[in-house]
Amino acid sequence: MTKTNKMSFQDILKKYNLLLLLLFFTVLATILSPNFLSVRNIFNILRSASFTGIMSIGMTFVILTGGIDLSVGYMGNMAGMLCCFLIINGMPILPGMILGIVAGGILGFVSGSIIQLFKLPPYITTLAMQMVAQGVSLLFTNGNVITGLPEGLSFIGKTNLFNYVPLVGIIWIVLTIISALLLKYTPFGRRIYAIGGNQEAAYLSGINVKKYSILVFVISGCLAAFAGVLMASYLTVGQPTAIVQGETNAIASVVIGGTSMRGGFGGVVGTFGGVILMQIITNIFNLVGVPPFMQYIFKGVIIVAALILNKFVSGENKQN
Amino acid sequence: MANDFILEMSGINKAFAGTQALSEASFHVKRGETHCLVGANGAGKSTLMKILGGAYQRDSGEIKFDGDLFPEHYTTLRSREKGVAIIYQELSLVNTLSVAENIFLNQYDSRFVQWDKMQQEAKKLCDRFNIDIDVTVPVSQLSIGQKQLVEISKALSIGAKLIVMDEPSATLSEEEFEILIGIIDELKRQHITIVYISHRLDELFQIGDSITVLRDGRTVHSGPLSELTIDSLVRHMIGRSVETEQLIHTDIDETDSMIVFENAKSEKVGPINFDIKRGEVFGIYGLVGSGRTEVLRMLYGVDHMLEGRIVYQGEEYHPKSPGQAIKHGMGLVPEDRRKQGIVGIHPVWENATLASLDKMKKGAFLDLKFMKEEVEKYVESISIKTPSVNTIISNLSGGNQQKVVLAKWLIQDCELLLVDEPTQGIDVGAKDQIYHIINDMVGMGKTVIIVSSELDELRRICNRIAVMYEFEQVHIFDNMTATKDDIQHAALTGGVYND
Repeated sequence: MTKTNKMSFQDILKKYNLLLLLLFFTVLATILSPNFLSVRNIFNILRSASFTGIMSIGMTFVILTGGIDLSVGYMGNMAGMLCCFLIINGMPILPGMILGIVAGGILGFVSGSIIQLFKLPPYITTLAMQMVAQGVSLLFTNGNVITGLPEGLSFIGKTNLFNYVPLVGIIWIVLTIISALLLKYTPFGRRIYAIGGNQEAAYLSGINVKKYSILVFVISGCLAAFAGVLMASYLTVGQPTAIVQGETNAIASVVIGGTSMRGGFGGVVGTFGGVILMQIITNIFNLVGVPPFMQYIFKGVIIVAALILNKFVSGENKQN
Repeated sequence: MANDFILEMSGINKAFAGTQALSEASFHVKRGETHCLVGANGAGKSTLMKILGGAYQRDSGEIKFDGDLFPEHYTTLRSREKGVAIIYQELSLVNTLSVAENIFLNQYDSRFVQWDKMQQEAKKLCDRFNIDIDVTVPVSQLSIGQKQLVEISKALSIGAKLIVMDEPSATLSEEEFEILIGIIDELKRQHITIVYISHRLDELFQIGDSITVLRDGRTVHSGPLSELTIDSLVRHMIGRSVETEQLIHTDIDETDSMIVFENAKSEKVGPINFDIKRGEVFGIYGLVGSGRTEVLRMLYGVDHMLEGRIVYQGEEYHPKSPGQAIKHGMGLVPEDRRKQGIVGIHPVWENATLASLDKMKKGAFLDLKFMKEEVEKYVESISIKTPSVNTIISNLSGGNQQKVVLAKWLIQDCELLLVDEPTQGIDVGAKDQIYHIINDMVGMGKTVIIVSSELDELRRICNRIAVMYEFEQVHIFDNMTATKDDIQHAALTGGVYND
């Protein structure tokens, strides 16, 4: 009898362990600083997390198929720079932003196509794309920042609804919901899971594996670029190094969110939680005044600890 | 010394999360004999062997090996040191390393690897058992049969006294199986005890001295093989006798061709000339590597068709991709269920609906409730044994996984089903159910092309049987008039008897 009880307790842990982690760090943060739970701070966290968050949605799509996209961070910077470059040279704001996003989609398409056409590992292909995107973003201005951009650019990035709620946060939440629905309730989504779960079985069940495997890189490219454009809008400055460690943060968030690196299992809601968790940890560090370089070390440790806990809780360690 | 047991497992109990995998099971093996261990899937064979090997811990019971009692808890390493070697179906070789390196993996007795010595030792070991393999080539270049031999050599290199072989013949060709028999004989001469697990019952009589039968976690029979026949063995395994009557629909309209191959040739196989009628079960037989599977791969659009043509339901058909084949009403039950047939980490309902997602939509979205209900219908109608449609498919037995793959094509409502080795690694009882499902599908008006390496299986359900030899078609036999010898002769020699 105790056995069945224990099982269900473990099931609860398994299912909600991310929520429990979030709760734990929230409580910890509240104890460390009473300011943490203030409305202002919570929406601050939402805003700061949005850029990585939007990027991580695309990353989730790619990882669900069993791939990985190391180019997202620099892809974002490239798109941000392109957008600013176009606008400062006279293009209206909206088309400039859209072209930035389209550029990300095209580069994603290139990565995905190369991977599928030449059967190259996604890891190395997107690493190469990362370098290309970095080069491009620096080329626009020889590495200099673009200033003097029109105020209108900052609308999306800086606007707060009802004085508090950041528009970028709302965009992130809406994109997460749309993606979650796509993944769960459309043939497109189920096919992505099937490809990640067993590519061969998916292919023999009639799924166009190549098409979907390329498509996820297009999605990832577009969303990374969108995050970059939003960042440029928020800063209202074109800065080729605006996003730092974008891919690292995105991958960590996706994995902490419970998506399997082998593909076929996980989702964007978990990723949302993963991004928030990472941001809360950063926030705690800032609140208690941990020096930035120390933060890197602690973050690394916490990521690994969270993953070990994840395995431990899900009992994955015992089997093989 | 007549009762010199090397292994005595008695009163073994083991439960997993509520289900009793073994209850009071016993397993006694005499020194130097070849002892077969059989049972339907889920009878507890692998659990028992995993307990012996130290991969699982037993709940209770006693294990005595070579005169010593095994402690209550022990590791796989410990049981290996004692002389128990278990060769699993999924071999544990490192493909990129050489044969010699694999044999002596992690057995480095000096600080630096002595390559010459290692290769000589490996060579010696192979020579002892007349294994003809170059020990310097990487394992990836070997055939599955040769890999198995390497695995056996590896077991011998650590001084194994008892070797457990888990379905070694499942992936072997006829010739490789003969070699395996020779090696087992040689092992016996050297007083090494063998536990042989297999689903192919006829080969047990060829290989074994005695047998233990497990059913539902209990030992139901143990004794010399000479006392049993295949029929009595099957009765022990499933607790009743199986039917073996033919399941063939004979009411076929000879003028109604479902699919016609005219000199069709892919990069691997051909030319193929089949004229398969609507409602027919058409078998393709041949040795491993004779090009059976390749015919299906060509038709299904996996391998390119280079020459010839295919007329499908009266229209010219050029295979392009599995997706296109499915759109035209075909479906494939692939050879390797786990690698090609199922998405192991996904639940039953998702696996069953994978090929028909576009039909499951309500507006733009999938109707998950409808999908699950649809799958539940088939779980019921073809009796898939699963706790629920939400169960992760890899938790089901092989036979039930295969039924889910069949359900996938029933749900898709395909017209031409291509089936490749549908009962490989599936126990007797479930095999029979799968034949009945296929037979029922034909009753519903579907046409079936079935590839198998088991002639008896094809004899039971096919109208006609085509024989392949070295990637070419030899002959098409009418199953009603041809004898088993005729067909086998063609498969072995590539020629047809001429009286």
